[in-house]
Amino acid sequence: MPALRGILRIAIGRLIIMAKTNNKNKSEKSTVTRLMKYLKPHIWLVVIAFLCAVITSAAMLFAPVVIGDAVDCIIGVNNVDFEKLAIYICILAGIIAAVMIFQWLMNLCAQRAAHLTVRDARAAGFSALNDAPLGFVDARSPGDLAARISVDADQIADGIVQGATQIFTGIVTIIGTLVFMILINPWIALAVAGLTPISLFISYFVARGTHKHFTEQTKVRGELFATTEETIRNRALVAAYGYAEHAERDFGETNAKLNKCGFKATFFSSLVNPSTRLINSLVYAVVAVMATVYTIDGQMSVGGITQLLLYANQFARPLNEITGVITEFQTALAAAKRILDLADVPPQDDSGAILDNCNSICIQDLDFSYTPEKPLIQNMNVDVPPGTLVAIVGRTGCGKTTLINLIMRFYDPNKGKILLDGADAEGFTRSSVRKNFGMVLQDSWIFKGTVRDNIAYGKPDATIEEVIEAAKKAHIHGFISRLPNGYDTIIDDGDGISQGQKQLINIARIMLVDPPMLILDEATSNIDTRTEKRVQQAFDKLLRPEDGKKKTGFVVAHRLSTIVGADVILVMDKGNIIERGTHKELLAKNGAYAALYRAQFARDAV
Amino acid sequence: MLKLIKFIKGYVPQAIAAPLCKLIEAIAELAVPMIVAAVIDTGIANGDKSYVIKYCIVIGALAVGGFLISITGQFLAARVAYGFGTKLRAATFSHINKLPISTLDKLGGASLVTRVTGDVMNCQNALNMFLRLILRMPFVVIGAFVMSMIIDPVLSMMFLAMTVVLGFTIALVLKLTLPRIKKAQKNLDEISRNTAQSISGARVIRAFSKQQSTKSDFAAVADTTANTNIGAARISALLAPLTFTVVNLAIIAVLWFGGIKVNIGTLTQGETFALINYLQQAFFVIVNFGNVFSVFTRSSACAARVNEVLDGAPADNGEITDIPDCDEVLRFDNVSFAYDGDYDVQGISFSLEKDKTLGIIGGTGSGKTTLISLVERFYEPDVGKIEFCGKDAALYDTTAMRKAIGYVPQRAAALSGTLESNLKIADANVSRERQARAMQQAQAQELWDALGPDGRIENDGRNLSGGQRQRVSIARALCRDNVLYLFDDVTSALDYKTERDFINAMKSVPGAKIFVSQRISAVSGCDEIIVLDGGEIVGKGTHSSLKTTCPLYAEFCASQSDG
Repeated sequence: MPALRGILRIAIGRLIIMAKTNNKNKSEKSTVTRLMKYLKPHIWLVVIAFLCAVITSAAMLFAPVVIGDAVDCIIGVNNVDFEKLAIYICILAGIIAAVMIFQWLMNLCAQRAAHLTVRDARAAGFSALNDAPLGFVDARSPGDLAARISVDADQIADGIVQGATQIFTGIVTIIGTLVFMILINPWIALAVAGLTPISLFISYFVARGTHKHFTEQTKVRGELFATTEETIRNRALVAAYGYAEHAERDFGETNAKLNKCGFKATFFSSLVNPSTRLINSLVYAVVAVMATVYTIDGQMSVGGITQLLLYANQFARPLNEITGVITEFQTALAAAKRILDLADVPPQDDSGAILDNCNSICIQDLDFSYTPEKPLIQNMNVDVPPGTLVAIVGRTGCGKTTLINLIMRFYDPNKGKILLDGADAEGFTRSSVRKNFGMVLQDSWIFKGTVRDNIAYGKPDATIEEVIEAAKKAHIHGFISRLPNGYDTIIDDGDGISQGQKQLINIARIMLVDPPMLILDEATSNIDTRTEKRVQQAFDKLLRPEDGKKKTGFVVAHRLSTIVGADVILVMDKGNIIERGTHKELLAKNGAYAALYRAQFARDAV
Repeated sequence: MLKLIKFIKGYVPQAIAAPLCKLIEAIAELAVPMIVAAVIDTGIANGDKSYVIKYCIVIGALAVGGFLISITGQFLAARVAYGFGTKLRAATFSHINKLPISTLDKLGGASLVTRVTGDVMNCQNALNMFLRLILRMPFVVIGAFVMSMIIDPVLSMMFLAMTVVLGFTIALVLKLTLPRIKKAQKNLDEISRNTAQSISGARVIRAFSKQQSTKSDFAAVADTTANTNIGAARISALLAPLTFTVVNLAIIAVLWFGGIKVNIGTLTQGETFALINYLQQAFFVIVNFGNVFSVFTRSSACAARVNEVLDGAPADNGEITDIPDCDEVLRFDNVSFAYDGDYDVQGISFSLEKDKTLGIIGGTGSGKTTLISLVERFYEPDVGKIEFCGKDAALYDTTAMRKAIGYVPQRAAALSGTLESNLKIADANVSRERQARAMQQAQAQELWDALGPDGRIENDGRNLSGGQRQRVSIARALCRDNVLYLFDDVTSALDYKTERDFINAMKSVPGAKIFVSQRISAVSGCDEIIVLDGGEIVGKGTHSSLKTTCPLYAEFCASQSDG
């Protein structure tokens, strides 16, 4: 039947066009290919799911045939063929059993494949995040990265794997329905197939409109969320300045916008079901007329009518489902692309020799900038012999933290090199370079876990005595002892403990490891001045042990009183070192450092 | 959810019309199998083709009519739901602004945002669905049942049995799946938390070379999440096959017993067919109901959360709106206050006169910010009395009273907009000249020159440094005349030179001022200084007197002045 084949081809062609319309470039295809890498280990699950889908759909399609044949056994008074009826009922029971088993199996396999794929993609994304250059992490918003790994990855399960199964089942059902109808009566099948394009057109139209309005709605909802979040976060400000009225006006505007576009989105999407029912009913009416007329002419049985009508009833549904799923599929692909993009970030090269027990640093002709347009550090030269304590001072944005980023090899210099014990730092593995430094930053970091695990972060096999010893050095032991479970209390980055206490735990971490070199970047900025003084003494002991050799150290500090004892003070401005020398030398020079120092201590004269 | 129904006001006719439309559509739909039965039994039996065509045109007409009525219903339902949602959202947001800060803090910022956005949206969607399905669903099921009763009362019992079994099956599957889905949701939060943690700790993780163990920790969480989801799927995967089985068993029963009845002549072939058709119609609706049911359960939880906000008592408010001129601007009389449990500040007494300055110094957690919150009346004292300009502070209208106070919080706040729009929060009519002067006094001249009044400020002032944010926040307070200024640790991100310049600039601004700080340098020049420790005043006096009389103050001086 060439005509039918042609119609089928058109119908399938339409489906493919629909899949392509929203995104004409080839990125979708490549996303699918890239996704295959994670799906491959579970491919046998997908194959089973697809096989089960074919069996299930075939069995479901076969049911109306059997029911129709059974109805044909029930013709009238004393005209019921019970023997045949019993056979048909047994067949129907068999079909039920087949659907029961295979549909369940299909769902199980598809879901399992979906969630395992998500798990692997997630782990890959997370790995990439941890192996990526720090510059990559710094350049992106944490919320966005977290969303990629959490919700976006989930979309792979919901949208893609399940979507694919649904689309597959749908296509099998449609083809199967047509085949069965052709077997019963080719002309009626032809008429139904002729109505297919209308159905496709309507569902396509609805899906496109819905997609457009939903995109708009999502945008406005985002705006509304931002307005609400901002007002509520700044509730104290809003209350203190009587800003509520203004905030409510802004909110009202966005709210009205949401009302308008949200209504459209909802109305459009709600057209799907009535349209499906309309097409179904029209097909139903056409089939009913044709089938009864054929029956009156003796070319068909009443059972045949039943079969055809049951098929007609379920014909438009898979078509609509497919259109709906395709839209979802596209959204899911976009989300999948986001997690895959992250997973495919190349890891930072970490090859090289192992650096051990380093204690001298020499910076030679160093150039560095985060963006080429804004040069920052230019031609820097610093020599730090073993045991030197270097202090770096300067205003915010002068390049202090950047210098530390370079020494720790978080970033690589654009030009020049950093020598560690006389050898180029790039020749060593990043991890071994970092292990030579104990680093405490202004932004202290706590992970969710016990206090003990947090302190023993750099030395997981430390005994509890060692941990307590380190905590005592950092003057946080008293606080920890007062916690409900002492060192076994679970803490996290939330509100439970203060910034200062977090910083002290970070300091205890370093005290425990006792690395050959120290980097303290505003390490005591959040600690109250009394505790700070004691922690300072502990650092001094660590840097200048009474009986051992002096450690090399870098200290960035706001409060100049903490760095007057440094061996060399570097005064930085706009990425360059503008002055260097000891406290005394710099005061005598009467330059930038002297001005800064006087400003800090001028209050004694007030 | 019922409590929220008042927000439907203004849309009542639509709210009644929408389900009615859906009802009419359902009737049209139910008529179809009866007509087909008639066609089979009469049309075919008599070989009457024109009879057949006539009735099939009726089916087509019913389909088109049903469609038109149905989309009218959808239109009305969406209209009502969005009207309701918009009103409810506005009311919730506006009510939040009326609640005392203490209530808001207790509910939590993130949770409040979810209530206004997500929860209201869920209620609105539930209402939409309710309007569309409330009459339609039971009508189709009951209608199909009644129709089958008319055809054959005995066989319709099959129908009843199927409905009951289906209902139980769906309920059981849902009940078993829901807790697992909730658990999966929690796992997802854990995944977000883990990711956020590894981003905030990117430097420390790398510094300790702990990438490997971080990754394996995460892999374990991802694995648990996958297993939870698979566990949930194991049960929900049963839903479709089970419902299919139930409805087809019912069909088998109808076929067999129908066969017996047709054989003895109490049923016709067409009627048997119609019965099967009604079974299927009801089946689709019941399966749908399963999905709808979970939407309703979720929405009732959301409605409860929204109601919690709407039921919150607005802040106590006085009536006085005019701030009298009085020599004594502020007076604390033995004030104690506790957030909950032990007192956070206790027995606080002091007074502040017009144009004088008061310094409050103390370590972290000593109660400094709590005192400021009490002045701003974010909280009310549990014991004692606060007087503002000679009258009990509680007698004032809070908005009016706060408008006389220039409050600069510890955590500098900036709203997205322009620099000017941020300054205008204090006074919508403040002139450019005054803005420039305020910025200058706040030691932010450089920023004013660089950014200009139309310079963009991003949400939370992300494009500003901590010090810049703090200075914009100070300038905002200086954009209007205030009786009293509260500077809560506002110089913590400023260097000492800028801090000193700022304090000097404040000398020319009229009004009483309170400077709160951990730094001696920020309070040493004040007319009077209070030293707080553990929520109590442990020293009161001037810089020079406290140095000798208050050991804690002396310790602060010692730790901050020399190396």
